[in-house]
Amino acid sequence: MTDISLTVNGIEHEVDVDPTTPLADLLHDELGYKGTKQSCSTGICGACTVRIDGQARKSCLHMAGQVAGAEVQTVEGLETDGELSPIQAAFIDEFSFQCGFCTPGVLMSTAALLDENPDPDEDEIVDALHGNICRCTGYIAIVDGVKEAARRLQDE
Amino acid sequence: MSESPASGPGGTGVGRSVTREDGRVKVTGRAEFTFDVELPNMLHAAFVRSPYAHARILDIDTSAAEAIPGVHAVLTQADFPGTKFGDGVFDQTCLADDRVLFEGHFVAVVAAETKRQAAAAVQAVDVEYEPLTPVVDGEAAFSKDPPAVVHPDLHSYETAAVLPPTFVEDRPNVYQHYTVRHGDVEAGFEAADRVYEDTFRTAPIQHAPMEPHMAVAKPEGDGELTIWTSCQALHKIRHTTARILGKPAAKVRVIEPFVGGGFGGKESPLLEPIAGRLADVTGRPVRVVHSREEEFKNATISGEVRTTVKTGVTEDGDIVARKVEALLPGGGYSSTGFMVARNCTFGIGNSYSIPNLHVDTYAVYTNTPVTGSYRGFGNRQVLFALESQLDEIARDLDLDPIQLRRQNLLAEGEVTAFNEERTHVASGAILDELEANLPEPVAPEGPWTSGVGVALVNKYSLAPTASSAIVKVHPDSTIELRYSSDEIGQGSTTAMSQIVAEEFGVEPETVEIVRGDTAVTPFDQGSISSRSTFNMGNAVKMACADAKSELFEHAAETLEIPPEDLETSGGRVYPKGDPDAGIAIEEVFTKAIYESGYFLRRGGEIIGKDTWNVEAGDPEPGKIGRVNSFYSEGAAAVALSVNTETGEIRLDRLVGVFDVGKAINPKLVREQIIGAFSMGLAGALYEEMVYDQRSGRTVNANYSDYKIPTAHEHPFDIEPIFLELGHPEGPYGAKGIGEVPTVALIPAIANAVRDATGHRFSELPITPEDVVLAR
Repeated sequence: MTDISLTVNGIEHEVDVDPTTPLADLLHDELGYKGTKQSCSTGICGACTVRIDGQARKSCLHMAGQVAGAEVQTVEGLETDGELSPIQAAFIDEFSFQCGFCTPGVLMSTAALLDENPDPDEDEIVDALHGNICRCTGYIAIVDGVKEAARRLQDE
Repeated sequence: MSESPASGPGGTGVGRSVTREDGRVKVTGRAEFTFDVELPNMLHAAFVRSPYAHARILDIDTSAAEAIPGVHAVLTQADFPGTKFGDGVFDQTCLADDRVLFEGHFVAVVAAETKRQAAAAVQAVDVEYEPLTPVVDGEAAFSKDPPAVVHPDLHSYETAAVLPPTFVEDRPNVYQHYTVRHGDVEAGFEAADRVYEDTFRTAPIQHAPMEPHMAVAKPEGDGELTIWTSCQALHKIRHTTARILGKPAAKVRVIEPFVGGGFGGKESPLLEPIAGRLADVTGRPVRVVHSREEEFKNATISGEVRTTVKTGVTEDGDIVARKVEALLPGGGYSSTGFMVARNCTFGIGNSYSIPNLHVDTYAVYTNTPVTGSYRGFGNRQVLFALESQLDEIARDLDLDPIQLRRQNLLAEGEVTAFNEERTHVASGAILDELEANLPEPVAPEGPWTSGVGVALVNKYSLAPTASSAIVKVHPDSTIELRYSSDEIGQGSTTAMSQIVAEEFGVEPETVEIVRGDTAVTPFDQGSISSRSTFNMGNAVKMACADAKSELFEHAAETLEIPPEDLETSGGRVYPKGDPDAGIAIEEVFTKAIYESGYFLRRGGEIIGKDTWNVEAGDPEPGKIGRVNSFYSEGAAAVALSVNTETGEIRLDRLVGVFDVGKAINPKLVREQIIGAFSMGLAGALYEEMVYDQRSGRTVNANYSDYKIPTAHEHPFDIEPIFLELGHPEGPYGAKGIGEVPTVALIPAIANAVRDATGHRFSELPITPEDVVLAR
């Protein structure tokens, strides 16, 4: 076990944890960030995607020891004072999810994309989301949600 | 398009694309899945899995595992004595019995304080096996002298009381032989101008829900259990789990949080009784979770189907006789596979009028993963074969493929080969709409050739079946719905709240939902077979009517107006047509002292309840009867391009036309069609579970080697068109849409590939390698 400090959604956490614990487990099981899901635990499906120092990353592939001192953002960090982010609101309005299990990961990939590229075209959106498997929607409503989110963020 | 039947009195709920009831919780990470259920002192489970597809278990030594610190229990099948279970044949045990029947089969389960301790204990369980020859190939399993008999005691097993399967005396691995006999096919073939016979194969595929199977069980004292589970048939899971654990059903409470996808894969008990027994034995809450590899091997899959179809036609293209034989290699247990072998036949006889039709289907045990229900329920596999062959017949007779289908359509009121009178047949209107919206082939360029393909299909919704619902009217005028439809992502929670809103004249978002808890929500067959909108929708509407009649009786006393003259909307009860004259719902109740709230002077509470029940079955010979709840009909057209150098298939445009009766929520209908198309194109072009034919091992049980389309592979030009022709029995005319687009798209893709390449691919998936090799 090792003492590790990391910041999640702006809150600093000191944890005594096996440094080989996957970040996804640390977030979900130890720190209570239940929005971070796992579906394959092998870095393929993207359900566990969070942002590490701004970048969209698969948290099942990052060990706790690797994220010491990092700034992590999970889906719980998208809201501001209980208000949905424009990305979340756009996903509701565009029906960009069905079962919702992949949704937190898709939202984090989207947030990272739109920070870097506020006006992505469809190919750029597809490239940014290709690491997130969705079994329900067929991706069209997701891409519509990302486009709508980009519009709303630009209008802000 | 015809006008749909009249909507309810309020006009506030049905027919609007209101946003999803579960939207806010799902985009904030607050939606609770079984994956997220965490209880104090919870133990974690891990499984000992068989490396062999078929072997005798000689000994299991658990002593070293039990000695590992943190380990609380190591269970084998000896800890689940006496009870075999199943959907049709009671052939299944929670863990492997005396033999393992497929690679990965669970042999023992460990519960420990941590996941790592559980994993270490799994390594310490010593199992001695005597390897046996596995039967992997379906034809070999079907033979009269198979290399292995998977269930030697099959013919002495107990079977289900409703629609039990039929065995075959001299074929020991057959667990279902279903037959359809209509007319005289041999005479039909004699009379035909041309006869075609072809064999097609669909690959085994997996539902791959993003949330794999999982269950958490908590002991409540006195032998009671609470189980949280990711499933799609809550009451069936509760009933069977209680039976396996030897408990009265009332002692087992099953709660279903949001479910991370189902697609047919979560309708039978699997981890629930294991979690329950572990909780009983340890006295601690226990979490049991499938890894992704375990989900591929131990959950049910959709099995391979080999279909041989022989069709006789006249020179003019009239189908005069058809003979279909399908073999369904079924895996180690029969599960819902016995019903897939029966119900896959319905698609064969419910689009076209075929005077002479013989069908034989056989489901056989093999030493491979267990097969069962999957979006389309066998019709996906069999109709790929039939619609592919029909496309070839159109080419051979030089007929337009839509015209060939149109001239063979089932007529309104016609009695099918299943002795059922079919009414409100929609296929003619569907073909007209499809023809008006046919996609154009993309102009060929460089190595790319292009083509267009169409297909017409149907998907029954099962019967007998029932759904119940309860509606409570609160003093603050909130309307609460209690029901058990499984919210697996399809949006039924939203649709049901719209129905309640319609009936009570309130906004859908104000409806209070109490869902998925056997302690308080009544029976439902499950979110399976495209059935919830039709069946639960009716139950909810009926329960609303019951609650309103109770509300009006109470209000009649205050208003001194007969209850039959009253109406409600916006939280008020008033004389019909005069909203200002009435009272608020609150005034029906009486205020209690001490600011304790409200009570009803008599009757306890305003609770409406009712059951929607469809009686059906196989009609007695010579009699006409009801076989299914309803039929979803639809057609797909595909324009695609094929790269003749690389074999790449690019889906340029997909069009689907489906009759939904009435769209309760049009946007949700669109999303169901697109999502079902997504699974269809995955099955047509990408997905296949691969078994090593010698050992029976599944070689690609992970997301790297089993290809699920990502956004990169997915087409974005999809046009979902739905008709609202109104089903007289559906709520507001509505029926289901969840499965039929998957069934329709696959043969349309295969037919478009044929059009583009000149080659008929008779096996799925159609991969770039197949295209290159066929050049």
